[in-house]
Amino acid sequence: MILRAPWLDDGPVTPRSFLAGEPTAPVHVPEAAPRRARKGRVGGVEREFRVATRELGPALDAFEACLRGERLPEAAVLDLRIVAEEVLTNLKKYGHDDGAEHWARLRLTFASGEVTLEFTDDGRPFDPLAAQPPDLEAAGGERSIGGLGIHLLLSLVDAAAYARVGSTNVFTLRKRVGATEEPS
Amino acid sequence: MTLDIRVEERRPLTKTVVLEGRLDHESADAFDEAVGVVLGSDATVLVFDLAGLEYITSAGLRSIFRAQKGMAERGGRALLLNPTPQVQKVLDIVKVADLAVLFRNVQELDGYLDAMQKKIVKGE
Repeated sequence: MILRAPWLDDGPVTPRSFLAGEPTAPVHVPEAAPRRARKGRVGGVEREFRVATRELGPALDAFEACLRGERLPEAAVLDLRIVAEEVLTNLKKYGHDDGAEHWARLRLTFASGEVTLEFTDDGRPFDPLAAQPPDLEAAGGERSIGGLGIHLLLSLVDAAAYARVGSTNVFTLRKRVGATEEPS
Repeated sequence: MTLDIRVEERRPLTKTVVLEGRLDHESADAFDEAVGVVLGSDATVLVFDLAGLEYITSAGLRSIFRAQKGMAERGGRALLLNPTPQVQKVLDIVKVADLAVLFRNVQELDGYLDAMQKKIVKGE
């Protein structure tokens, strides 16, 4: 069963309607919203976050708070925060060149010990899986500092897939997170 | 602010940049600024104390690489001290150990700096 977040009361968000950008106010995440996950839970949790490319912090913080609400292990929370930050920072820096505000969507699904992140954006076509890997063997001063973010995020997940769907990039990442932490 | 940055001089000609929080896309500029001040000083050794660093992203890694390069260009060096397991994992992924001398604790670092100082005194 897919559970919808209570604050997303404006109907299903499709890539087209979502990226049209109306309304453009950031999603507000109520503090008491996260539900508790328990060991052996079979059902899934799905949340969606709208990300303003100019100001990534609020969406990243809401995403992290949601992961903590699901009581994922601390290391997994931080890994996923880094992954989301790398994907969205890349979009912010390279996704558009028109200077306008853009929105992306991050859909988080948590089920059976696995977290799936699906990023959808209307930026220029970009397949992270086809990006040139950084040269990690070069000496200090010679080492390229490009491509680090993609290498890092792909190293922190277990599976990744990319698709160009219409005028959107859809980047899907999966990470096994094991048992959730018991409430203290 | 996601990162608290404190610069200390625990030994002569050695600046220790103590980091607490997160070195990410938001805090990398403040980090670069603090490192810039050290690069403009007469310090020959720059130590990044990472014990309080919760995590680091590629933006932070790039800043550390730039700091290492900046110190090397002026005949000095940048060292990493006491990373948390989360930060260590990221450092391993990008093979920072190939570039930087990394110490697990202050005693190891002091031993290294003492040995360095002796070499300088002997004119090696």
